[in-house]
Amino acid sequence: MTPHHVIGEGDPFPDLTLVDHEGQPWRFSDHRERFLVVVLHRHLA
Amino acid sequence: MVAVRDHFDGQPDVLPVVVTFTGDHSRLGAYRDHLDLDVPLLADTQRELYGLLGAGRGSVRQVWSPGTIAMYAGLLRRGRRLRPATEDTRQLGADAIVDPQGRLRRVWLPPSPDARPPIADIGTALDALRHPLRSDSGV
Repeated sequence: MTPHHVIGEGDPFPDLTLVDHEGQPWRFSDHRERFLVVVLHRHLA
Repeated sequence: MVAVRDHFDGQPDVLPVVVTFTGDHSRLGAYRDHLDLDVPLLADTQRELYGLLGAGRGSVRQVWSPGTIAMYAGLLRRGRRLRPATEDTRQLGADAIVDPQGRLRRVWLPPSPDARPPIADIGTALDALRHPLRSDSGV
């Protein structure tokens, strides 16, 4: 894991682009019309 | 993850998003199908979001706390088939709520795998963000 500053409650959420289950880019700012409940999973066991 | 899907099903103003750090994207689709998820399953291979939210790697004692062992034993008793993890088992998870304006509003950083917040707690926090005046007045 690369070092980052840590954001806290009230901060702007980073506009990251990750890759979804279909291999497509998924950018957080493209989904701002709703509340996002983000679950950071541990592993796929 | 199934609990997240079920809890927020029928709430059109909420999009659950599940993030993992597996480097094998081909596993994501199979895993999503296996759990019958209909929410985005994302790969954060560099663990950038994990780092930004403060979800670090736990010690062996944290990850294999008595509560964690009891949690896995309970899953096995209920018939759940567990497979050995091929990823970093010391990576801790996190849960967060982002509002429609793109601001982080709540974050939970459990110190061990068994200490994730109940989905009902996340739902309650979300309701408080939807209706802040009602929450303040205790109604």
